[in-house]
Amino acid sequence: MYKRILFCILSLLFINNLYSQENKFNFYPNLAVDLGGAIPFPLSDIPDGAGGTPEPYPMVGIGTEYTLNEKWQFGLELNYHLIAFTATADVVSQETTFDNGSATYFTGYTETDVELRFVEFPLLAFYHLNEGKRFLFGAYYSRILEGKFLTNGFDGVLSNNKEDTDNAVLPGPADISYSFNQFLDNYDYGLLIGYSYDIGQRIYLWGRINVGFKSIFVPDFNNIDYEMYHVRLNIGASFKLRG
Amino acid sequence: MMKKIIIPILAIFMLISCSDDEKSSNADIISMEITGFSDQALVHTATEIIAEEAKVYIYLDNDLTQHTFPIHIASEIILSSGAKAASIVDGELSFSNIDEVKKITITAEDGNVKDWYIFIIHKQIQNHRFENWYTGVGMNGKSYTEIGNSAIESLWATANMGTSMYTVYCTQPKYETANTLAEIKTGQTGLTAENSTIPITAGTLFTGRFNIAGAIANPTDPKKATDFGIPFRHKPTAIKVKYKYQAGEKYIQATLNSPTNIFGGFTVTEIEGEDQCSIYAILEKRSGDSSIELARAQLDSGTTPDILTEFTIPFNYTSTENPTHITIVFTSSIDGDLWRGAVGSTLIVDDLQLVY
Repeated sequence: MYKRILFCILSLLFINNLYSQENKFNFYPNLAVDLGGAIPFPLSDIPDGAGGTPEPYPMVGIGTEYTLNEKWQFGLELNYHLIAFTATADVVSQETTFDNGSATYFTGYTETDVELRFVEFPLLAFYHLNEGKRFLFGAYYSRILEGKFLTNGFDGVLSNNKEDTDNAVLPGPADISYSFNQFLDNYDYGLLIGYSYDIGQRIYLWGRINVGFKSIFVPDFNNIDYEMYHVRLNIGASFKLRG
Repeated sequence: MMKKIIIPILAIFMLISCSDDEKSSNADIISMEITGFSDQALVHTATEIIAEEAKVYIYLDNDLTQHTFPIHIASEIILSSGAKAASIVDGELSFSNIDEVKKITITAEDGNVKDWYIFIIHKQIQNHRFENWYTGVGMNGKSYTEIGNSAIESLWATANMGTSMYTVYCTQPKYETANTLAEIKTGQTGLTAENSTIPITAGTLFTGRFNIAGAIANPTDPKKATDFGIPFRHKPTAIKVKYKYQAGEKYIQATLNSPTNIFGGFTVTEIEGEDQCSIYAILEKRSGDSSIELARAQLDSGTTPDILTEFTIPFNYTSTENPTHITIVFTSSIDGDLWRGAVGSTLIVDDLQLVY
């Protein structure tokens, strides 16, 4: 995996050098802050009162852009991300199913910790709105290097009979811990939109929202009754190596 | 003039802050010295304070089944600075019966309250006739019957809490006229092995603690659900117990489809042979995280005649060192931790005795 990343970096450098004379390609490092994680889908599966606390982590990357004309530019980047967030919710009869069809239900307070390390390959299009301001959109592909998805439940009621958890009196005696690490998929893809603003001849600030189009879990993971999708906000700066 | 105002104000602030800081929140037993007994025949050998568990073990070199209760113990107890124990008068501890565990509520100087438990460890094991059971609340919020007088006081444990989410309780009292036995049964968590989340769950009764956190965190490793052993410093020659056993009809092996994934379920296959129960006791010397087995007594048994039979199982000593802990285990399926056994296998035990 790391060989592939190195190969991509070298390729970008090579392309940048190759075409630098024509002044149509540029090369830039990225430094940004990631905020976000994954949210349940459909959104109706988010319990009332649920809350999430994304943890900001730095993102580093490199990119190259090609100027097609005065209005349009295209870019390709390679970024390394670490995203982490904690979600809390009071759940009622949250179902966990087993592959043989049996199920358990939990009513109580839950905390879910998610952490993902991945490299992302965004393909971007920039549209110049006016002086120094650009609208951007694109698609991305991510390769997940490492993931953690841990759900803990506290002071609840756990039963294979949904009636028990539907009528649970809280606080209950059950604490639970489910690790879904091994069910995290190793890739993701989706769309992104954003906005960038030049604060100098070489430096520009940008913000992007990335939305995943596939569940973070492997396709045959059906042990919880909802899917989860990446949703992230990046705020960062890029520095063009050539003015 | 200004100085005269500021200095008293500062002094008051300092007094207030100092008085808050100095109030201790510690509500611990620092030491306990046993100074006498109401029964002169009682011989005190040691006192052990386990601060992290808020427990005190008083070791006696006696078999308290041979003594009359109540017994009174005179002691000198030193508590954390400023702490008080309202239920202790002049250090006297009274035990009304052989299985009683004394609860002492200690109030720290700052009002913090902590319950401590005083156990008497003698030559027999607490609740050795399995007469005492209490009503607990399982993970499913429902009441069930558990061994002992309470979860914190019982030196015996079962896996009932772990299986309570399925309303399955493999170790239960079996009431007879004027006697209570322990019935230990191998179960499953569904109607059939195939549709059960756990196709086979061996009944178990053991000295120690059921580790619910270990069970939840390691659902594919049943051994992580048990913290075996209780403090014990005697050297019995054998254990004696009444038991009978009926193996279940269908001897099965359940195999995790994915060794680390409980959600993946099991493949259940019927295998040759018959289930067996196991009764064993281990004397150990523990120090920190290390443990040395000093002696073992073990009986593995297939189906017996349908009548309680007393059996003596001798200890085989492999060391002359003195033990610090004893583990006694009854299980209705000897290989239950390997998901092997027969649903319905039933071990009934009564009247455990340590022989000297």
